[in-house]
Formats: sequence, C-alpha cells, structure tokens
Amino acid sequence: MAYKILRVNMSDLSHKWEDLPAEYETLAGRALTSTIVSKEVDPMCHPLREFNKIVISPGLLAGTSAPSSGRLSVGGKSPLTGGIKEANAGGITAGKLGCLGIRGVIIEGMPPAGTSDWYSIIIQKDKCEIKKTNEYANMGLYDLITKIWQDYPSKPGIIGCGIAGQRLSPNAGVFGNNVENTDPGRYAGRGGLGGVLGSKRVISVITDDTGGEPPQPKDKEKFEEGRKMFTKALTAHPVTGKLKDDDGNPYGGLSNYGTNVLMNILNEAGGLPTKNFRSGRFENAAKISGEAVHELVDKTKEKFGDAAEGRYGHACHPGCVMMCSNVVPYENTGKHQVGPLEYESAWALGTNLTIGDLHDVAELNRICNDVGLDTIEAGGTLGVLMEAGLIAFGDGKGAIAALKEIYNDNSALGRLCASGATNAGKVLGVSRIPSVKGQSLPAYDPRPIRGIGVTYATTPMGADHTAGYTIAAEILGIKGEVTDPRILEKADLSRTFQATTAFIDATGYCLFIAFCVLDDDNGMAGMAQTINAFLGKEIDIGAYGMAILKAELDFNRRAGFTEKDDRLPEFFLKEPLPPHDVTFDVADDEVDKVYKGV
Amino acid sequence: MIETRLYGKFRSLVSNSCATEETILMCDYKEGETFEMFVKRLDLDVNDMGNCFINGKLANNYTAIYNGDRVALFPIGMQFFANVSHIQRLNEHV
Repeated sequence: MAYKILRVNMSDLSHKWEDLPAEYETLAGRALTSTIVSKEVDPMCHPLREFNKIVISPGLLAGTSAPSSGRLSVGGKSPLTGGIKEANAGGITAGKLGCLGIRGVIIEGMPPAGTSDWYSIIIQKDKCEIKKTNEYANMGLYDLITKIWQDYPSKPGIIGCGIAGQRLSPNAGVFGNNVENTDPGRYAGRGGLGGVLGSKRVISVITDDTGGEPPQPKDKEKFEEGRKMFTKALTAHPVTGKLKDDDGNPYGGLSNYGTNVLMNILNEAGGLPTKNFRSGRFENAAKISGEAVHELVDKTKEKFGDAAEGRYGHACHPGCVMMCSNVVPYENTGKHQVGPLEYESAWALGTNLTIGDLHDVAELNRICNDVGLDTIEAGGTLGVLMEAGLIAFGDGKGAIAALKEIYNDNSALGRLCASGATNAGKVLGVSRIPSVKGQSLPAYDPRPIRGIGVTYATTPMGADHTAGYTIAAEILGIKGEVTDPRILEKADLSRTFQATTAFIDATGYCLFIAFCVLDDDNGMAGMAQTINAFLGKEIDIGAYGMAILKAELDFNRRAGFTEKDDRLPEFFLKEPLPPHDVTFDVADDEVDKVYKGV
Repeated sequence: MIETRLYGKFRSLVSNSCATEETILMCDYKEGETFEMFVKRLDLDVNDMGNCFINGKLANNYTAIYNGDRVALFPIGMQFFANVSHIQRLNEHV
C-alpha cells in the first residue's frame, strides 16, 4: 500500500493528496504528528490563528489485525499550554484512515476573518470534500453524531469539536464517536486541540472507508506469528486479560473494572488526589470506583434484561482485546448515561471535587462529552472554582449546574468552566492551581509518587500521566527483577518511560499494553515483532521514542520554554499530603537531568 | 486489631458486602505475624494477591504486621503490574 497524506487548506477550501515522504515511512501516530508540527508550525504562532495546524494520524498498525492497535493521534500547537501537543484516542476513525492508506491529515490555514460558515471534511477512498455544514454548529455532540450517521449511512468515523471548540475554549477536546455511535466520548482530549479545529471553522472530520483494504505487513508470516504471540500474552495477563476465567469468574482487571480499577488502589496507596490535591485518600472512593460501575451494570442487567445498556468489557475500538471501556447506566432505567467513565474522569469530576455520587460524576462526564471538553481539565477547573468558593466541595448538583452554563453562549460562568484550571484560577485569585505548563494535573499525586511528578514537570505535553507512566515501576519492581526503585534515579525512570510511551503512541497500540509488555517477555517480543514485520525492518524502540521527544522538546524550546517551566506548583513542595505526609522533594537539578543534553 | 480492607472477590469474606461501600474485616492481631501468615490465616492464597498495602505502602510476603495496621487486599488483576506469585518489594515512598 502506498500511503498518502491529505492536506486540507481552510484558507481557500482546497485539498491535495501527497505521497508519504520517504523519510516518514516509519512514522505514524504521535511520531508523525509531532514531526510535522515541529517542522511545519511556527512555534511562536498564535495557536488559534492561521499558522497553526492540526495533524491527524492513525497509529502505524491501525486497520490491521493486530490486537488493540486502533488508536488515533491528533497534534498541533496547544492553546492551553502554548507548547506542542499530541492527544490520542480510540474510536473508529484510526482504523478507517488506515484502511484508506491515509497516514496523515493536515488541516492548515483558516477561512477569512468574519466568516460565519462552518465546515466538515468528508474523507473517502481517494476523495475529499470540504462541505459547508452550518446545521452541525452549536449542537450537542450526542445529537450531532446521530445526525451524521443519518446523513452518512456508511457508519463513518467522526472526530471534531463541540460547542466548546467552536467557541475556541482553551479546554476544548477533539471528540470521536464510539463503535456503536452511541457516545462521542472517545476523546483526544488534552490541550485544547478542539479549539484549533474550531479556529479553522471545522466541526467534523468524517471518514468513510468503503472500498478500503486493511494495510498489509511487509512480512505477513512474521506479523501473524507476532500477532498471535502478543494476543495470547494480552488475553492471559491478569490486568489486560479476558473478561472471565474458565470457571466463569471475573478475570481481567481492565475488562471487568475498566481503568477505574485504579480508584480503590490509588486510594489505598494514599496517592489519590482529593479535594483539589489536599489529601491522598477519599472516603467515598468506593462509590465511584470501577467496582461500583461493575456492580451497577450487573444490577441493571438483572433488572432490565436485554433493555439494559450498561456495559463493561467494552472495546473502545474494533479489535481491542483488553476491552477496558464501559457504559454507565442510569440505575432507574438501565439506559446509557455515559460511556466511558474512565479513572481519570471519575477522579477529576468525582474525587478531586469530593463528589461521591456516581450518577453526578457520570452526568458531569456526559456534559463534557456533549459540549466537547477534556474531562481531566474540566475537573481541574471545577476544583479551582470550588477552591474559590463559587461552588461547595462535594456539591455534585452545583457542579452540574455550573458546567451546564457552557450551553449558554452569553454565560461568563460557562466560559470560565471551559477555560482550563490555570486560566480560571488566575481569574479567581486562586493560589493552589494544580497545573504544569498550563495543563491540569491528572489523577496521581506527585508527592507520594515522585516519578510521576518528574514526568508531569518534564514532559513537553504539560502535566500528563500518559506521557511516562512511572507509577507501576515505582510501586513494583521493574520487569524481570525485584528492583528497589529507590536505586533508580527518578530522572532515568521518567525519561525511559517517556520514550517508551512515545513509541507506543506511534504504533496505534493502546498504552495499556504496557501492563502486559513490561511484565511478560512474550508480550514484548510479540508486540515488537508485529511492528518490525509490518515495516519490514527492525525498530530500536528507545531510539524511536527519543526521536519523538527530541522533536517535541525542540519545538517547545523554540516556543520559549526553558527548564524553569519544568516545575511543579509551589504548594506541592510545601504542603505535605496525608496520609503519608510527604512533599515533592525531587531537587530541581534531578528533574533537569531528564532531558539535560537532549 | 488489624483493619483489613477487602476488594474484588475478597469482599465475600464479609457478608452483605457491596462494591459501593468499604468492606472492612477487623481481625485480631497476632504478634510476629507476617503478611503471608496473615493472608493464610484468612484462608486466602498469597498467589491470588494483586497489589496489597499495609498502611498505604506496598506489602510483600515478609512484611511484618503490627497492631493497629490497615491492610488492604486486592485480588490478582487489580494491580499495576501482574506478579503472579509474590508481592513486590516495599518502597517506602509509593
């Protein structure tokens, strides 16, 4: 298959197909988005004006038969952080782009100032249409994705921006429709890239792969061998594994309880940020945990039978074997309330706000999905509003009412709720704003978990746990050894995980394969074999990952970032976190070692 | 007494437990008991353990249990990394 790049110019509403340049042959997903952004976007440009670009790229193996390989990357200059951004998501668009042989979609320019029209980009086999779709503007996204599937019965992949993005809000995410098109909740959420789409007057990118073919590996036999080995490892692993064991009992942690299996674990570990990062434990953690969702789904299935819409063991993209996604049902009807409710969302909209009512948390998530917001940043923003006294901590109904103000174009409170934690905090005079490079911290407190704190500080993405997931390596020994993580310098740990993560983000594989591959030699070997066989060449994972990071660091340096931006907020250094009563005490020079000389 | 918090299938050790509430089993303290001995006392298999914590710090089979400790037991699958046969070494900073 000869891969293409689709370049869309929103200044003159033209498009052109380009052959994938030879130097991009092995690049996909985050590797491609960050390379193109670093090369083609002026780091000093305004992120919401014509010189920024949105780059969309399916992972390398998207559309193939490799398990859990259908992730999509979206990149650009972030309106939230001012630096480079890559956000990725599941959904169905990546696989469809892969089958069409499209390695990247670049959206550049913007319609002339004063334009009131909105557009959608419709991508089909060897075809692209930039269509005026004003009727899609200002719609809630649950309604929008339903309408688009009515307009396009081929069941296309849909990504785009909601109301928040159309208003250029700093926390606007890029939504994606789920497999069943029942929820727009497959978000490339972080960093405000939805606003970049909105600035280009693009509401949706619709991908129809009719006539497309799954991408073929260069070495089919080796690919198949690797695929089987990897699939076997994934389905056997207790974290990533199948839903039930041979006796019919719950087996896989992720398939049964979703990522929200972590709520109770982090709570016991004392690292669950509670009440805007005041404590590491939440007394109502169990009520909004993955176990609680599992129990509710079973309860509503028993009560409503086939009419029940709650799910666990749900795949976020076709071909995923880990199936960590879920659908939270309304308890009184069994109908779909929101899907998924991830750990990060349950934490941000629940624990961080001390909201212990599962349905309030699910409703907040649903509103975020409907208006086009990143849930983590939305929770961080609401936490700051609570810190400022606008809403009481624990007031779920109050938080819902505030977030719903976003639907009102004239509501200043609504604009504030969509502005991100840092912006809202500054407006409200809050001094405890948990953010780095303008992006809100996620669901692991850096004081007891210092390695993740180093990642938050140093990743080019702003505070981002997925950029280098060091939690597991700190709690447990590194694969293959009983290693005391005190021996490993936090800088080395963070850099290693950041590079490995960057590689995974390029492959189309979901990051959660890390639970398996970092613990099971066959899993790692099988995964690596699928990549090498697909490309027909051996890839050095570390070098590949570091190349991505170098491109991102280079962009950020040219955008004006220095080591001074690689710091956690002051209160993490000064306020001990109960129950362990520790502060973040990694010295600045240790933090700076992560990328010294890179 | 040992405050034992139970998760996943281990909740069944307490009657009428449910996932939305804390499931706590108060156990007598026995001097000199290790984590492994404690787990066996509950008629559980150490090989069935996921991440387990004592006072918020990761437990291993040899960690001593003291009077007043808070022990959390998660079954295998509820963890960051699988360690099918034993609990990893404690790190004083989680």
